[in-house]
Amino acid sequence: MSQIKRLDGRFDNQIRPIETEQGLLNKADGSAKFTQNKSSVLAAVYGPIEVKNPRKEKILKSVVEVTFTPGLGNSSYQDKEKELLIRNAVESVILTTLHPRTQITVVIQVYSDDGSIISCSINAVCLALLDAGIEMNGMIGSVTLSYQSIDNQDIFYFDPDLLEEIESKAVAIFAFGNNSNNIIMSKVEGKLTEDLYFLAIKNAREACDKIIAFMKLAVKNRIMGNEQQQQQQQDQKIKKEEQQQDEAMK
Amino acid sequence: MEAFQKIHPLEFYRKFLERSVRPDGRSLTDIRKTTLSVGSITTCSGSSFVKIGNTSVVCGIRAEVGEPPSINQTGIVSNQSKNHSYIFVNVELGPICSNAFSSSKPSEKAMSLGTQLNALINRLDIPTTDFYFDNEGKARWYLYVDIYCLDYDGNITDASIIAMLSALKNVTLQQGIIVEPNQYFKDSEQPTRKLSIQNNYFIPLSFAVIDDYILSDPCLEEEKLSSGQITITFNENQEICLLLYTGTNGIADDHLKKCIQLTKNRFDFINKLVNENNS
Repeated sequence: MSQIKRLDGRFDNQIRPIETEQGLLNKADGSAKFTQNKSSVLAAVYGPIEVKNPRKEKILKSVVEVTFTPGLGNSSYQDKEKELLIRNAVESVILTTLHPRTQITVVIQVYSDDGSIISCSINAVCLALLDAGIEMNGMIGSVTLSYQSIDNQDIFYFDPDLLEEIESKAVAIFAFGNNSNNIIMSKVEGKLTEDLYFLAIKNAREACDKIIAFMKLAVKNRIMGNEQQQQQQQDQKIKKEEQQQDEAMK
Repeated sequence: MEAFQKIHPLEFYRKFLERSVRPDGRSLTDIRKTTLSVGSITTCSGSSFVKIGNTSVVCGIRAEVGEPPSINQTGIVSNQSKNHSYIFVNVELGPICSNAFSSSKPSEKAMSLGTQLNALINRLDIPTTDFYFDNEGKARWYLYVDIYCLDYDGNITDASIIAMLSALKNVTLQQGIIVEPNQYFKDSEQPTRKLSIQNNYFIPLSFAVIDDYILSDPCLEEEKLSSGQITITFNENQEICLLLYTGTNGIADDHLKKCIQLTKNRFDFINKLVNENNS
């Protein structure tokens, strides 16, 4: 399959560069910012805390509540649907049975929306949950694909921006975990044949593995410090020791 | 027996599912009896009533005349007007259909279902000329689709989609004349027309996942016990229009394949059902 250049210079199977930052909020138990070019999302996690609405309390597990706040305007019906998708996706990785009769609140604030916003949010929430130290049975990564057919050629754009999403024939959102091959969340909207759908699943799985690998690196860097910094520190240490040895020799 | 069902509903279901049958006597892939009647609300431009088992849904369509959004003077159609919709869907899950819903604000379920239906309707590809009020399209018909659930016994998505589709097929619009700006008159001499959705059907089917079993057309009890829910909607050309999987456990590709196949099997039935009632 030949690679296709997109409007913004990416190849069809290239995702936008990811930037993450963890622990930026001081009051929240965990927080993370997930940025892919112009799509940027901040997620905060509070919990496990006591259930605010007693009607929602569950005897055997904790309640996961997700609030999605768009960058512009009030939350609409579409945002409620996003909340539902994100909640279902992250609920499947959180070990909810560990803290019965409690609540885990996830708040998502969009900085700017330039496509693939649900995927961005899920990834941000995963990092925020890790930052909050909430027990999970694995990590979750999400990716959006948009399907276009140009000159009878079927093309999947990975991680589409807003324009690509609008002009696409179909948009497919997937979420995968890192401990099983199963699909955690999937939503397709548009017109897509069955064969192409399963091709999309295959593609998305590979992309999600890459995203999860990135998130692992981000967490590792946060806990252990940046590898480059570590290397520099080590080099300095060795230099100092050598100097000391030299001095001792004299 | 009854006490066992109340205290350990999941265990109760497992006992049945092991033997590939459900407590209500259906096999895992059986779909409840689906009935449809159209045009029962005479004050609406189009209406329908759908029953899947005990789940019942009423759909009414109200037509209003409005002016289309103006196109920029530069002639460039902005993103929003490109996706400009003439049909707006609203789903109402009131307290009458189930004690799970309150009257105060729309439930999460109703909101997300409404969003999904609004997205689906754009995939019908109804030509813009169908909505013209006068000949030039200076004013256009806007359709407001209201879906009310009367009885909620699971699988509301399927019922809503069938209701929406058959009500839209039932809509009759009148040709009109504009005498002066803001003075619209219906031209009763012109024949009424229908929207051209001749061969563009949605074939929906929903599933519930309990343990490793997949149940077609779940009832409310099954939806409550399920760990995951799948909704698949095909169109006439066997393309996926809407596919949704959400759940607390993952799902394997093979299971999805099986569900897609089952949805395809439903093709002829829905086609016949909608066609027969709209002839």
